[in-house]
Amino acid sequence: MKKRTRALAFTLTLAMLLVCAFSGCAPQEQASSPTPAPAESSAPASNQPDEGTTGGTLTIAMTCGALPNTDSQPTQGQEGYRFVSFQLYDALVKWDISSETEASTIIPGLATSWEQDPNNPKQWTFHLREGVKFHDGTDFNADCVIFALDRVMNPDFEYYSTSCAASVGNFLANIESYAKVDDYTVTIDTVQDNNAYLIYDLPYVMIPSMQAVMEKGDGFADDPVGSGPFKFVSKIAGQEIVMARNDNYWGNVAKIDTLILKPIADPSARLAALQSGEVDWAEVVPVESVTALESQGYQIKLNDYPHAWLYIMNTESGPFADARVRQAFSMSIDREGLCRDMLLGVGTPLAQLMYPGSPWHADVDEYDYDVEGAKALLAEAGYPDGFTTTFVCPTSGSGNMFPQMMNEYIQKCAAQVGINIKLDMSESERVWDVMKVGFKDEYAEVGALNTSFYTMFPNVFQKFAGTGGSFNTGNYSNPEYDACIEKAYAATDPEESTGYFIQAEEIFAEELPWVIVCNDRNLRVLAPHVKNFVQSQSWYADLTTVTIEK
Amino acid sequence: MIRVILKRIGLAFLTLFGVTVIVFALLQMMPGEPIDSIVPLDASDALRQAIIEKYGFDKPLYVQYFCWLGNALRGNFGNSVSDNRLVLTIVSEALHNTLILALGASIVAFLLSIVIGVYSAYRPKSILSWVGTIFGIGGISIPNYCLSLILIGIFSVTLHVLPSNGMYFSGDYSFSSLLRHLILPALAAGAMTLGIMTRMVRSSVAETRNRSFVTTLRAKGLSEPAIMRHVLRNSFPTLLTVAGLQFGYLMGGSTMVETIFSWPGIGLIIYQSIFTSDFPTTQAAILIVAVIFVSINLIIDLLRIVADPRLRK
Repeated sequence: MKKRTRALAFTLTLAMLLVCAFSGCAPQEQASSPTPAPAESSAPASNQPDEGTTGGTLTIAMTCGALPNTDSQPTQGQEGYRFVSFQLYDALVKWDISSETEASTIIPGLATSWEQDPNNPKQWTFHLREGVKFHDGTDFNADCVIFALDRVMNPDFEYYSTSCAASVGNFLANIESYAKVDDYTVTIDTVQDNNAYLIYDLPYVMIPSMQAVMEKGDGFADDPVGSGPFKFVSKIAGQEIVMARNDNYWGNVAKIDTLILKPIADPSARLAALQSGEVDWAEVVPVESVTALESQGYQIKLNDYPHAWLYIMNTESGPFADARVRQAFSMSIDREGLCRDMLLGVGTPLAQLMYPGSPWHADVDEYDYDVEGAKALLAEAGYPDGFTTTFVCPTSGSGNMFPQMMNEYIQKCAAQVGINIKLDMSESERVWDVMKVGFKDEYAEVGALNTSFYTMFPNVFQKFAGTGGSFNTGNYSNPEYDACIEKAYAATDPEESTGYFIQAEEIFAEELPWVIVCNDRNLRVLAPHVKNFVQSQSWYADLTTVTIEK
Repeated sequence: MIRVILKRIGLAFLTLFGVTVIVFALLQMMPGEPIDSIVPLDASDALRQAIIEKYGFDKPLYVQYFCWLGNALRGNFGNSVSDNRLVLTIVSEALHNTLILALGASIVAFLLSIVIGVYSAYRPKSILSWVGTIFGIGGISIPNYCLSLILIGIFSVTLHVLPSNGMYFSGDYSFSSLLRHLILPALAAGAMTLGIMTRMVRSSVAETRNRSFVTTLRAKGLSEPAIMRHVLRNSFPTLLTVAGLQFGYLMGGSTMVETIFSWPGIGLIIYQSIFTSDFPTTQAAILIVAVIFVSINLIIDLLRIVADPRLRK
């Protein structure tokens, strides 16, 4: 009798406590699916306050770990420009990202036209767009352009911002000086005579509202004002940036009402957020999930764009100083197999710097998969029995695709021809350190380092393999190559300039100072209800055309 | 007794000093120069110089250390490299969020572990006790990031009942929105604590039940529920120590869970700032986690000294 009471008491206590412990979740679970909702319209999406407009909300899961800076120059690299700066701000010129089939080019932004002074090839005149207003209602004019440039280029300027200057530093090296001519005309002088640099740098110099920067000072990043297609609404650190459509935009006015950006660094977490309906758009998800997603009705977006996955070779010392050894290494890589079996189509084979859609792609025979040929070349270069070398490779990092498994694949390929690679995998920060130090001191024995690069700017020819180029880790130097680049920059006719760049690319593809393995295809996945997005051949995304059709 | 307490406090400060040195040194040992995380590789020399001066990289290391320490003591950790906000603001916001997660996880873990633990101490051979044991071992053995993904797979992706990331729905900052986001990460983060605590509660209660005073109480004819009250009261001091320590771990150790659920707490901040080379934030966040650990340990030590006369010498 007593035993039974005890048991009863316990069961009751247990039951009560369990009810207490779970009472927090039970009503919530009901609340989150009030109707037998289909998968796409689960709780999070239906929770958006509807402000009487019908454009809907687009929520994007970005790959960056932290939210990009919302000040005029973003952090988080190209993703910062893609989703934050290019939505909030405009620059004098911008990338045309409206075509899926054509390579992206530079088109007018806040400047409607520009020309080079025939008598002074260093000087460029920009005619500004009239009638453009910033989100705070102030007018855009030449003073705003000068203000924006001063803010990142003139350390003595009252509103100079070191953080913005550092973010955009890559794109300022070519500007010598700038001046206002009248309210809607400015001139910019370049460091060298050329036509190839400046116009590709200017999309990244964003122009904020002068008045807002002066009023808000250090607080500007918390309430930024630009003239772009979206207006800033709010930002919660580590969580999200919310933007609203700019109805008075000078260009194509966006269709969606609200844009929400979430930083979700983990690929599986991005996938989960997409599948649970919390986001409508996920950047790079795990490759192996793609087939399943497609069968569930998600839209897999892939397109070639200027983004090469590659090895920077040690052209200074060791076996790879001989071009034949580099060619042999390139010929040992089964690019087709890698892209088909391992990358499942999210990359395409490439053995030269520029992808086929690029204006600077060279129509040459690439050093592609040929085991026998590679062995023969190695023997000719004096390595009939092969050799052992070390490659420094990142374990992850923006744009590096899936470095671990890809490097292991290539390790196996190279072993077939006798090149035995020891993989030294580490944080991408260390790879950048090797890039800075060069193949000397502690890294003298390193044969190559693996990374990935964007290739949409013609100046990459100089930076990557030109004598003294800032990313020319192997100190490759070829006077013939340098001459091509110099002529390309000096040419005032764009056609002629392109011709010289293609010549440089031909030398690159033959000499292989860098061995290119494949081209990334910019994997992103959109929920079925996201329509009218054009996946251009570009690093950027036009969000103005997107509609939400539930 | 006061001497012992002062000694413990002194030791805690010494530990903290050591921590500051390690935190500062760690960042110096990280691959690459700190300056390179701020300035692009092909920036102009003038810009590079301006930034070196702004951050004081041109000064000797020990000067940099004492400048940093002095500023840190005054709560000035500088500005984040990645978004230029005040590091102190970033870290205190994150700390607040981690506190919410740790509280949620502790409540779930402590309540459940007491129920399961006490029950299985009283009924060691019942089925529920076995279930409890399985939960306990599972909680300790399954890594929390693994459990996180399993929970997301079940409750977010398949059942669509709970969100998989963040703290709030956009624009809905209500308590219920928070609660719904809290459940899964709290379960994932608290599983380990649940496992450890369940075992502790069970062994502690079982041990107390076997002590002679319980037999005496029973001999006096006290009812079982009344005896249980005595048993529990005698087991609690040990459990409180463990609970306090576990709370400390939860405050500092949920990096993986926070990352997977994008919960903007201190763990996520550490993860993000390391990957974006945002060294002022990394330093501040690690330092603050260390301070929390040391403080909780100190408080528990002091409480035990007060509670246990044998430790007073």
